[in-house]
Amino acid sequence: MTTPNDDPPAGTPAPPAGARTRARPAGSALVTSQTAPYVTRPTRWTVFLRTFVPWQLWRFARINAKMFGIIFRDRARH
Amino acid sequence: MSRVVILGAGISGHTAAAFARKWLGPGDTVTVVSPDDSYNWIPSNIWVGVGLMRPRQVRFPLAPVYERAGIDFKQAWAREIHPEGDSASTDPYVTIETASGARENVRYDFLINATGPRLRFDKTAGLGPDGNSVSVCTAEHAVGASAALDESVERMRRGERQRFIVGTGHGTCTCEGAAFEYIVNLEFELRARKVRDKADIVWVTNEYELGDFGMGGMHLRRGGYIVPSNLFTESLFAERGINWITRAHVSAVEPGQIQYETLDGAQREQEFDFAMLLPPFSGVGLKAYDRAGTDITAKLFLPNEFMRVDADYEAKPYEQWTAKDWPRTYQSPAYPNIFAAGIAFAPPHAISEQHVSPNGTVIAPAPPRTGMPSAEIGKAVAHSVVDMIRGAAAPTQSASMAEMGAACVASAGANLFTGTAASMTVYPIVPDYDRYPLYGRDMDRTFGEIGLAGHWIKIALHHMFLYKAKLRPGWALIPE
Repeated sequence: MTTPNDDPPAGTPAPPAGARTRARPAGSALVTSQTAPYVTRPTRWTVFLRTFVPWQLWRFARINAKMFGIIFRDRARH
Repeated sequence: MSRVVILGAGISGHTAAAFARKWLGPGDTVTVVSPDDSYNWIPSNIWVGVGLMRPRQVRFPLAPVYERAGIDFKQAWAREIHPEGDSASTDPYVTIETASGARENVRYDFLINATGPRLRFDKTAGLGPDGNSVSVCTAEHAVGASAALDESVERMRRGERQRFIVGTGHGTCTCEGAAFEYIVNLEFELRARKVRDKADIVWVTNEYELGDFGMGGMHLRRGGYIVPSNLFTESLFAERGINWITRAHVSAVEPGQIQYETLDGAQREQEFDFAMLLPPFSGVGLKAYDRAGTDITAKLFLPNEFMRVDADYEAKPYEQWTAKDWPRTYQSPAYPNIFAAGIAFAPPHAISEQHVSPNGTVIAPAPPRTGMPSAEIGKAVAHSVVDMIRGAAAPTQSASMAEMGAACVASAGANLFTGTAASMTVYPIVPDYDRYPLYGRDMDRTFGEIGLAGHWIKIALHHMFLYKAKLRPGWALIPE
């Protein structure tokens, strides 16, 4: 079931009504949001969390931990 | 007393020089040869290219840093390697040439070739700052990109519509990640300057799928599934209204129009007002001669001018590529006192699957070997050289890209509260399907996400790595 938070954020280019195909305009290799309605889009909640400072402070710590894990594993190998 | 000579002062060469100097005794010399008088933290050039930074924020003069560290610095191009010396002496040397044309022979006991790439704008007609597109490969190029962007923004403020094309300017380019950073920063900047509604933005790439980045893409755990990275790149582009062209070889950049071929062999064109297209790379064109003066360049280098090292260069189909093909020590098989580091070493093959159009045009990314892997390789090579000077018979350190992880932060918009960046770790860089049969990589250590935290990390890395490169107190404690 779709909830308001599952909708794409405001300003997201919407696929035109009836466009449900991967077909591109004849003679063009250009893919646009209109010709690619199959593309995954973030929900409003996901977009909100990307810049929600308290959540991002947690992610800052978590990402750093993951990156240092990679770095120090490599260092230990040398 | 031993003499270590390092060609190049980029991320790999500078790292190698700094560690070699730190580990060697005062009786040994470390000499860096570079045509540039400055160090450039290249990952931040994209911010210069959208006008958010000045060149002085991403560059600093090398001479005072090297003087303080006890490293000899020669501002010159390396032209020739004489690994057996000449008729007068068996002492190996490198012939260098200054901007004034003066030549000098620099003797060495160990040579590290870290010259980086030659930017081959000449491979595509009209490509590059001397042609019809801009670039962010150097700080100076990025200044030109920023000026061109300002001009387009002025036109949009006057009500004109502008078409932006960003991506790869040839079918065999690498560094798609840098172009990706530029396009999303460009889009963010156009929003910040309140002219986004007047802009059409197109990504043109030699990747088979978005999110390949020359690494064959990657898989990530997300929402209970393991999903390919193209899903996230497509999502980000669709969310930001960026259109894309994949599987493309740009064959010409004419004023206001690119000509390109797609993998199906069709010739197509796309109009633009602003184009930032990266060039393909080759080696810098070093020549090599034996003691008798015979040209032995092919013994040290591949036809693409990158240096042969301890990799398996046997040509084989994609299905037979393995992680073991990749070099571990970066030692020249021909001369054990010569090493290559960073972009200067010749990869055994690509990482992404190769594709050729019906016209015979190769349209596939070359493997990336910049940033963290470059620095890791430079450090490992310096360590091996120091150990060999102290008596080791062979290189003691390995830094295979098939056994090495990488952490990467790709800026997607620079603002302390509204900016974002894609933070990624990947292990290993070169997929190893023997160890990880399904995806080639360890899914516990391969991840990615987009958010403000990534931008904070990107800013921290900018300052941290410049601090480290300036060899300020404690620099060696900062990871590569």
